[in-house]
Amino acid sequence: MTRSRFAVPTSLHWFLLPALGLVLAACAPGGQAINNWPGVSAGEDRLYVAHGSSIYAVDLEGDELWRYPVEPVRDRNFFAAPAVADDGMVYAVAYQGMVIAISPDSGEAEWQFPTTDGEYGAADGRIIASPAVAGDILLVPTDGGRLFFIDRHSGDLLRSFEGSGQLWSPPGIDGETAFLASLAHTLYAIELSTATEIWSVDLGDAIADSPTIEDGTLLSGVLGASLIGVDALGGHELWRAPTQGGVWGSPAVADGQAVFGDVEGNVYALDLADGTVLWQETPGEAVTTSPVIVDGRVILGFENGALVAYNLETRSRDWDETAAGPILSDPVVAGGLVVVAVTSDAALLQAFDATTGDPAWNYLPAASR
Amino acid sequence: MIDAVWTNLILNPMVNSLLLIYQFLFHNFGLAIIVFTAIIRLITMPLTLRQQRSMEKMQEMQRSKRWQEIEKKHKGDRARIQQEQMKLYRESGVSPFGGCLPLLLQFPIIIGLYQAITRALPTVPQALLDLTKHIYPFVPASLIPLNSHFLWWNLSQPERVVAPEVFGFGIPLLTILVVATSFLQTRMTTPPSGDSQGAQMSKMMSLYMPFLFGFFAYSYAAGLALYFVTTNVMTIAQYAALGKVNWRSLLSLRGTS
Repeated sequence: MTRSRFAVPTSLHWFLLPALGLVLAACAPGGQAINNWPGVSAGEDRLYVAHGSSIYAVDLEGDELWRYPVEPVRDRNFFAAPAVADDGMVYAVAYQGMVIAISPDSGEAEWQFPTTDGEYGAADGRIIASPAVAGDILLVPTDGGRLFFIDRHSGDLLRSFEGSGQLWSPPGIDGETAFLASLAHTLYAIELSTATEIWSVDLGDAIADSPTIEDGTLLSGVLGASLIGVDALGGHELWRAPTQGGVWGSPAVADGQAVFGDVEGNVYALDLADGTVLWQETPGEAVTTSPVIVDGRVILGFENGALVAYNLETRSRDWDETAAGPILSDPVVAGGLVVVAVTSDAALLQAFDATTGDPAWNYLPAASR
Repeated sequence: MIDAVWTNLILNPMVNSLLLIYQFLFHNFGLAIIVFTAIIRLITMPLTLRQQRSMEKMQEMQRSKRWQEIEKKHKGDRARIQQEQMKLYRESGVSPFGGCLPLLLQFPIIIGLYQAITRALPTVPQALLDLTKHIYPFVPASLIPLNSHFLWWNLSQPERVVAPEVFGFGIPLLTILVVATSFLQTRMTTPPSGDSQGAQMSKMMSLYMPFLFGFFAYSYAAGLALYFVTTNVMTIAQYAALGKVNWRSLLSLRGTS
């Protein structure tokens, strides 16, 4: 019996509906891309940038020294800025839950630490945060809420701390204490030698970045639109300064001021003592980065690619430049340059003179070797 | 432009509704997905019913004596058969695409629902930033991050196997539920087909489509698999409430004809 091409099979409807939806959803906006937030960190004479499937070492002239791995490995993505120890060792984390110690000279792995059996997803093993170095210990927070204490020379697991919620930022270190922020609203003080909790405090909103530590005060921005001062010894909230938008990055501190931006595009300078606003400007673009301070200037990167230097004394703009793409991760300072990681066809790293803002160089990795 | 319209008219309202439901359901995102899916199904019920009625009319026509005569009379002449069948559609006032329009209208809702679930559970910084930018002022920012754990699943990640230590091998339970409910839904809601080719097609789809959905469920975030299970169960319940469940087809091992 012949069936007309116009006769739609009845059961097809119920199947086509979600199936086509899935196909279209894959093409439509809303996917969670993991390669558009490159992180950069600075060593003594070089920079390390995590992007895509590689870690790139670049000298202060913008020339590539090495990349790890030499050939890209499937299902391994780097975007958290690597940690650099005093002896130069580089510690990179892959999103899929892997920690790798890389020799700064050869660019080869010295050890790697699997936080899971390999695949991300198993046992909440993804890693979003950069690791942090505390003496001989490497601290690695995971998306599953655990902070690993790893012997940074051997890669052996020493101990771990079980926090609550997702840990997306490296702990801040002050002496024998690590201060760890959780997206699940909690700020922890953890004893480094035992991995035990000293205190914890619920700040009421998600904390996306590690706290800035200044004179016994922890400064934590929360996505619920505040910057909060917390007593580092006891974990008591000292003050809370409301902002217009969520605060993603950590403040930079100089001359008794804490300077930071929010996602609504405001820049604030607060009095460290009580959190009152000293000055505020509204450039209008989201800030997700922590500012850096160089020679009396505070430099902020914006989501629209703007890089602005404010003079801390005059509270005016010293210079502003525009990078080739969005600046989402923290800028770093090295050799008189301020360097930002961006995702664009023109550059992965861009260096600007920290005093004048003049562009110094761009680095874009060759597609393949 | 299209992005902005899509985001503001479909995606943002859905994401914020999902967050509000989550807030009222004890911060349980699994329950929020189930209730949200149920609400969406209720809202789109008129479209579903219209589509169903249209398909029934079409099937009645395909089983009619005149339809059979056309196929018999012009056997081998495909163009002529189609021409005559179109004529019959016009005379009967039935549109062959009548079942498709409501279906197409539901596409944005389904896509939006999928995107809302994935957007509400950010797994990377960029996704979290996007989420914070799209929350309405009356939705508390303190809801973020959502608790993505429901029973033993992490809804933001693809499903992993359950209890490997008990059985010696892992069981992808949610995937199995998706396959089982998809199979049941197809068998129970597919009316008997008027011709053997249609019956064969229905039978084939009732076999392979559940596995396709199982593949989706295993590969995508578990929240989506939960949506699949919910929507399958609701479809069966909806058909049962309307007295349209094809029990014979479910019990028959020989297909839907």
